[in-house]
Amino acid sequence: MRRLLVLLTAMLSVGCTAPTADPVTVELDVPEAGIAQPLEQHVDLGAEVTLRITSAVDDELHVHGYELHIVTPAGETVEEVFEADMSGSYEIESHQAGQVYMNLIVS
Amino acid sequence: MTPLHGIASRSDLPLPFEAVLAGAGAVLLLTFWILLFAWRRPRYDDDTGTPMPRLTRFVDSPPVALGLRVLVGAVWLLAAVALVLGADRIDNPAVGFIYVWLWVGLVVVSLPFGQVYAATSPVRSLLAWRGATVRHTDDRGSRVPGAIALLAFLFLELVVPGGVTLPVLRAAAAIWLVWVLAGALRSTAWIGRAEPFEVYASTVARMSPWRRRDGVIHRLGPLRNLASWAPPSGTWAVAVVLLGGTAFDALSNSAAWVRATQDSAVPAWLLGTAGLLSAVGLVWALYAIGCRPLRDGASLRATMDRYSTGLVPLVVGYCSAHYGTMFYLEGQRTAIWFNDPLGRGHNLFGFVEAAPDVTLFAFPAVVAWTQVLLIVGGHILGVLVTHDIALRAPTVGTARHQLPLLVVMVAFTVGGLLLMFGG
Repeated sequence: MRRLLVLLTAMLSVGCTAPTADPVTVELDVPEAGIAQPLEQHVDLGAEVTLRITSAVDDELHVHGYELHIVTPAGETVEEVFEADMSGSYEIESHQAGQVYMNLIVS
Repeated sequence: MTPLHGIASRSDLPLPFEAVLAGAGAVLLLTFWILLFAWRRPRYDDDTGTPMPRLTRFVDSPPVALGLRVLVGAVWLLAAVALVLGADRIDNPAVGFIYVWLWVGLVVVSLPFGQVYAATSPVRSLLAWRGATVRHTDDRGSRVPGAIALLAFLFLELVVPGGVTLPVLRAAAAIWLVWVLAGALRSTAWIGRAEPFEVYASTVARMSPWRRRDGVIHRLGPLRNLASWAPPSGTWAVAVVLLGGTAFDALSNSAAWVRATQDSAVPAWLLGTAGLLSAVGLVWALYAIGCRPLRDGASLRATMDRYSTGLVPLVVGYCSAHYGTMFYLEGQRTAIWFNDPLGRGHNLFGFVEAAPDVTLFAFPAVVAWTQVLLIVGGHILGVLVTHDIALRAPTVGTARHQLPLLVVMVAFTVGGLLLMFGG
C-alpha cells in the first residue's frame, strides 16, 4: 500500500512540474462556406497563443472556457493573444453559423 | 445562440493511457482479491453506530433547521425568478443552478453531510402546511417513479434539443412541479419516492457517515451505512438509470459519436433517445444477468434490489470523476451569474465582475489521476458491499455465485474508464 502511494505521488509530481512552453501562433482561415468538421489544434499548457483568424464573412468567434469573443470583419485578419493556462479541450465556435470550427486542445 | 454541448464550456482531456491501464489493473486485481481472500462472514449487516444526541438536538433546533431551509429556499426562489423572468442566455444562473448546483451539487452535499437535500427540499417547504416537512424515513414504497423521473431529466440534459434554453427549461420545470405536487397532495410519501433529486440524494446519503435511527443521528462508517441498508423496492432502477445515463453522457461527448451523428440522415434527437435507452437497457440487462445466481429463492426483482446498494458507489465514483471539473468551473460561474439573475446589469452580491478560479486546470495530471482514483475507489467500495451482502445468504456466499455480478461490475468500471479515455 505504501509503495503504491509513493509511486502515485511520484507520478503526480512528474505531471505537476509545468514546463515553460514556447509561444505559438494558431492560424484559422474560415472560408465563405464555413468549416463543416471541427479542426483539431494542440497547444502546450502555459504557452502564449496568438490566434490569427481570417474570416470570409462578418462573424464573431467564441473561444469557450477562455471566454474570448473575437469580432472578425470579412476579409480582415484579426489577432488575439492569450495565455493557455488551463488544460482541457475548448471549442472555438462561430456565432454566425452556430458551428464549431476548431477544438483547441491544451495539454 | 446555443452552445452545442450543454452548459460545459470545456471538457477534460482524455485520460492518459497509463492511467487507464493502471486503473483497470487495480480494478481486476482488487476485485478478485476481495472475492477470494476478504472476510468470510458478513461484517456490515447491522447499522450500529455511535448515537449523537447533542448533534441531533443542534441540527433539529429551530434556528438551524429552519434557518437552513429558508436559506436554501431563498436560493431556489432566486433561481426560479431567473428562470421565469430572466434573459434566455447562457449566463442566466438558472441553467447552471439546474445542471451544476442541483444535479452535481446534490452528490457533493449528500456524500459528506447525509440527508441535507430532503431536509431543505423546496417542494417539502412549499407543502409544509400538508405536513410535508416530516419525512417518512423508512418508507418502503417503490422508487420506480423516481427512476422514471431521473430518466426524464437525463433525457432533458443529454437529448432534448435546446436543453439549456429557457423555454425548454421552463417547460421541464413546470412538468417536474406538476409531477411532484400531483402525487404529494394525495400523500406526502410520494415526494420521497418520485421527486427525482430527492430520490437520487437520499440514495447517495446512504454512503455518508450519518444515519438517523429512531430520530437520533448516529455516526457510522460509510461502508457500514451503505451495506446495512435494505433498500426500498425499485432502487435497482434508480442505480441502473444513473449509471446508464452517465455512461451515455460520456459516450455522446466522444469524438466518434459526434462524427457518427453529425453527418447522419437520422435526426440527432432520435439517435440520442436510442443511445440513452440502449445504455440504460444494457446496464439493466448486464446487472440482471449478474444477479441471477444470487437469487437464493427470492425473485430476480427482489435480488436486484438487494444488491443495488453495491451499485451506488459506482454511480457516485463515476459521476464525481465525470462531472467534478464541471462542478468546479461552472459552479463558480453560476455563483457569479447569480449577481445578475435577470441580465439587467444588477450586482446583488457584489462580485459580478469576478473571474472563476482555474488553478486546478494547470495540473491536468492531478485531475486525470484523481478521476481514476474516484472511479476505482467507487468500484472497490461497491465490490466490498456486494461481497458482504452475498455472505449473509450462506447458500450464495461462495465465490462461484458472486463471480458473475463482480464480473459485470468490472465491466461497468473498465467501460467507464475506456469512455473517459476515448474522450
